[in-house]
Amino acid sequence: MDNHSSSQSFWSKYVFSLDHKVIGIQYGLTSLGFLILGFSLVLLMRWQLAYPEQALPLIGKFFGNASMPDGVMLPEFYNSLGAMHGTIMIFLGVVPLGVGAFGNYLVPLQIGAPDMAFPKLNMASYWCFFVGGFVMLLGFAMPGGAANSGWTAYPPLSIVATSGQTVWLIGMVFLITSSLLGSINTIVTIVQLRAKGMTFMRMPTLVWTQLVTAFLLLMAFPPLEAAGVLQLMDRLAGTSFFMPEGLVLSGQILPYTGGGSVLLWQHLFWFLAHPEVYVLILPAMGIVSEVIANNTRKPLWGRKGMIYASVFLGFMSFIVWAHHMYLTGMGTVISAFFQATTMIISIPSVIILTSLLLSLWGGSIRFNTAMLFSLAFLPMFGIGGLTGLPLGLAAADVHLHDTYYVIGHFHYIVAPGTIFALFSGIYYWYPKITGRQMSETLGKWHFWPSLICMNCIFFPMLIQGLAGVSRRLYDGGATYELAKDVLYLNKVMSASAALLFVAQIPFIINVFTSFWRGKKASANHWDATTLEWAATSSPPLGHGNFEVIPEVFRDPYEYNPPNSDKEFLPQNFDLQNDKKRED
Amino acid sequence: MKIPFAVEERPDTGLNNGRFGIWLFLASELMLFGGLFSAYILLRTGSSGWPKGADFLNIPLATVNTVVLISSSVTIILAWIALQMNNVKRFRILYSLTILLGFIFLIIKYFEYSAKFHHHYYPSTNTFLAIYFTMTGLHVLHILGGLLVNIYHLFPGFKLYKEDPEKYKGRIELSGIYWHFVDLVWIFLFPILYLL
Amino acid sequence: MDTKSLSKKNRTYLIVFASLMFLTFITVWVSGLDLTKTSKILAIDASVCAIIIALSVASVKGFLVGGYFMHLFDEKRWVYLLILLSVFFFIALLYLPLLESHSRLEHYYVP
Repeated sequence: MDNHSSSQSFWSKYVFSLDHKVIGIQYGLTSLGFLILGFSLVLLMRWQLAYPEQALPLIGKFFGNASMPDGVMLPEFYNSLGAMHGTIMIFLGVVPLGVGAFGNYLVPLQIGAPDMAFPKLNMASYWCFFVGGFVMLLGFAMPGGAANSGWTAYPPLSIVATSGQTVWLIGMVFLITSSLLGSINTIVTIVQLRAKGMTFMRMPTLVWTQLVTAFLLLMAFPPLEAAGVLQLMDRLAGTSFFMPEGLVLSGQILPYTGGGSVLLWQHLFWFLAHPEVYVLILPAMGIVSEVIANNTRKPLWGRKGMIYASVFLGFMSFIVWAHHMYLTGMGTVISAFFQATTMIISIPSVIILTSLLLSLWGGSIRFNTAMLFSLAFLPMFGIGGLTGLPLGLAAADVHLHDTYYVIGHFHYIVAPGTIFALFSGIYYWYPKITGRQMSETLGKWHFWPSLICMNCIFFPMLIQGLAGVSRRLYDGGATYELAKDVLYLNKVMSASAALLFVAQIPFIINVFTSFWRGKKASANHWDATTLEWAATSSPPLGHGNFEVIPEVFRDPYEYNPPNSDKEFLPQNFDLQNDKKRED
Repeated sequence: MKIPFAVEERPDTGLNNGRFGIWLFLASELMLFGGLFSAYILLRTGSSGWPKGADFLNIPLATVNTVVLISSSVTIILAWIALQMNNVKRFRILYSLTILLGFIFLIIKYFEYSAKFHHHYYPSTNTFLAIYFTMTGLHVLHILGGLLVNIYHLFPGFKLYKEDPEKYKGRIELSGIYWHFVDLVWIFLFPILYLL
Repeated sequence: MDTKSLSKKNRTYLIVFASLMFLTFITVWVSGLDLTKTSKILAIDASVCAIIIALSVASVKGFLVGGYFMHLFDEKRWVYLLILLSVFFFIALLYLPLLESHSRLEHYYVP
């Protein structure tokens, strides 16, 4: 570390830092905290689903009478937990970890830039996110509890909901601002600050996926912000953008002038929320392709195809959104249009997944923890993607809409899909970030139970959903005759969820103990070729990234190149210079 | 540590970071107003009857406001030209004039709003007024944001001109591009809310 | 840039300003006219006629502001690409919900 950074105060070095690596770590730690919180919320829900209206043992009595009198959960509290679980996991957990943490930390290092293009905006982005998260949590302190209209906040329910919804909307405004600042920064960095020789086609796949993701965030979030403003107006100023005439609540006609459209919200919301799905999955695909290329010791199969596929994926994701709305009574022609675009968008996803799978062919695979998580990503994402196809077709969606099948489908994509990829990324880049290795033993104790528990949670959901169990039921379907045969699965899922929580303990121990006790890692711990390993120390300098800004000579994954005696060629390795030196 | 291409242009893209950044920001702003325009169209076509703007709104006042905003747009670009010629005095006059015109716009808007409230026209009165107040309100927020930035550039930010004139010129150009965008939004808001 | 080309630009901006003012008065003036005759000749609804005129004038004005004031006429490829992309999504956002909400009508029985 140079003298300049040691002269900074603690606050400007670690808290209000302008360095992209520190901000990346801040994003990472905060979002991991939110992931644990979001997971805890769903554990409470799972107790209620498996043992409806039984008192939660041990901790139940601490929740107070407003949410869990005598440890028995109230339906309103269950709704709050559901809404906040979704919001926290998506907007405060997975996206900040995939985009905020990995994007911030790795993009400048991988393209050979000294920092992000706008360091101050970068800091502002993190603090907007932090404030947004804090405001979201404030919702729990509001009378009537946190937002309870689902993470989709559909009107009219969300307009007549308790004040927690207003807090939710204000929190969203902060989060949208944060992602706006972050995405502008990422795009400008990638387009403007690439090192000499780093052409677009030589950029690692992770950088490409981050670029597409940033465009999605940039273009898709603002309509939700507009919708959020309209919903705030409905709630606070008494307008009726989303409220039709003559709504009756508890026998009272609501004082709205009417003329609004509930579907307007759904359009504006899904215009964001469908691209958001790809915001969740694209960085994960980027991480997995880095890990797979490195641990198979061969170039990615069809790398350029993957890049084009992810750009096409990003583009198409803007015109498929109404497939969330088949059951709202849309006409058959427009429904055919959205079915067609939905089928088309599955093609690039399949291209990417197939390329990753074929990249394994003929590789001498190193089965370290990072690689195990990446390998598990492939079938898990595959199941998630394939179960999505019936939902994209209106006829099948009539049966499956709003059942547990939907929950199973998207959790397969996000939980054992994206989150596994993110774990993989943490195991893979930990030596770079801290200069120490993580324990492989603990890593395997983390991986195998997680894989098994994930499947025991989400596969039964598909079965329940096919049996017709609605996702909105507070008692898990106990009151419905049709659900009787699949009701026992609730206990299986809940027990697996609790075990999954236990399975994260080795990971938490691993992250903290390795930081102090882990074995020292060399600068290029995995013998990788991309710039973040090739040209920096480990951990990278506190201030500034490279001693000398590297120059790039070749494609990113030159492992075992033909016509060379080297096992791997880093992107910045100058063959000609090397030859001269040997001569 | 210095970020490359903060002032000078990157040869292969022909842009510096700030110019590309502001355009990305404006692209996202376009989508923000796009969401509102979409809401406007959907609500209007879905309604059984939509009032003419003149039934509720004051067209002469809004025309004056259009003139004011377009004038402020032209003063800010003339200010930038003056700065390019290093004519600081002319720059400061024109830039101050822009800020002044911005404030005049806000004052007229204030009178317009209070006249509405005086007649008991509120956002909750009907959907037309609801979308009127929301869209113009959001536009006013953008004006306020722009004014804050411009005032910063004129007074405390001006010392940058002595340290790094090229960087300062770049910032003035960006503030101008943003200001024109706010003008552009008004150019569309004016006919769809007041005239149609 | 040299002083000469700058003062030339100065003049261009003033001309643009004058045209913007002119167009503003045009659009206000047209909105006060009775368009029934014109609409009969063109065989379209009077309100549609008004919308077309108002939006075309606004588009011309927007074109002038964007092109000259925001220097779009001499921007670079990346900015054009970006604007193209956002305009495409803008249209999708405007048009698809409209199309969707109209498609609902086919399900309703209209006597």
